[in-house]
Amino acid sequence: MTNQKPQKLIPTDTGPGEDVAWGMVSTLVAGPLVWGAIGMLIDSLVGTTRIFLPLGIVLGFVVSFYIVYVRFGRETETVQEEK
Amino acid sequence: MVATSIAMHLQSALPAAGGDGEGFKAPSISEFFPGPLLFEGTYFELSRINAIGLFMTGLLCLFFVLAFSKNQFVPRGIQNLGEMAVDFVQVQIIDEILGHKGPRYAVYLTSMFWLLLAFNITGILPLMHLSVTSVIGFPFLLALVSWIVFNVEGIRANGPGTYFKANLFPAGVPAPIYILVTPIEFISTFILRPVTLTVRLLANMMSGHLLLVLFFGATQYFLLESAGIMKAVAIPSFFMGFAFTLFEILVSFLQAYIFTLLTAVYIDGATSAEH
Repeated sequence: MTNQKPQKLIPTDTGPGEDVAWGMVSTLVAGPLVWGAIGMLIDSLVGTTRIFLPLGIVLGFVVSFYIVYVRFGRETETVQEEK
Repeated sequence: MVATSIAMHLQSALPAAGGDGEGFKAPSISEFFPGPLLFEGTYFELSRINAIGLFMTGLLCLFFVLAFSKNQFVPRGIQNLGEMAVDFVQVQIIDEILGHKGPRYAVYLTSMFWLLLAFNITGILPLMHLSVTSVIGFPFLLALVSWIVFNVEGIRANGPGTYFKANLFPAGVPAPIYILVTPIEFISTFILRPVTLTVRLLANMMSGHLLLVLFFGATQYFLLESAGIMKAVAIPSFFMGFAFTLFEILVSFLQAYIFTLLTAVYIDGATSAEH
């Protein structure tokens, strides 16, 4: 009885899958957050009103999509090519 | 257990539902800030939620001490349950995610899973009816410990240079782009991870409790306060409350599982940062 291991209830790829999903979400949130904040800071330093803030948010979105591609998309492509 | 739980919910929802004839009052955030229970006005003031947390921690400790205090080669009685509890986390999370690195973190991850489950499930247990993890302090503390563990282990396994380089400077990106990428990677990996761990658990447990109070409060209101055909609305409202009580059991389990699983995934990622 002690040698019997319980059957795995969870598919093998659930763990990394969860990580990829939340990794993408946090990257997509962090991008506009960081560059939006930097844009707001520049706005307050330069004295402009809401010019660099939207620019920062857009830049953050673009860069975070790029990171998602580099971190997750490219890895998937490599794995598929290996197969 | 579910029937007793529902009866208790109905009772606790009476004031929220305006049992004094003042009309229906929807549940609010004040649900999660119960007044002091013991030692009022002292440094050791204990609210109902603290008392539930202490009680469940004590109960869990007692269970594991009883289960493993007289270990036998062929497990019997409570030792069987204890071994099943440990085995579940070992097979479903530790072996699956951490593999050969698992034994080092087995005690931490097993304790975390069962503590979280014990804290989550109090939301539907009779006489308690409030998840310990539905106030931010508890999930945040556990997320903070996870954050410290995966960072310390990452630095220990790879050295600070390799660890931070792997996390802040993803491979295959042209060097000038790092100016744009690195701040995002820093916030995403080192700030948002504990935040998302905290918020995911907190939001799930809060919304579950609010839904239960809402449905059982509405059941009581429609049954006792409203007139005519509106009384019939109490029936679907009650069944929705019943369904959500069952659903909360699943959510409690799932959230404890996801929190522990992600901690294991973060530890695994941190200790093999060179990949």
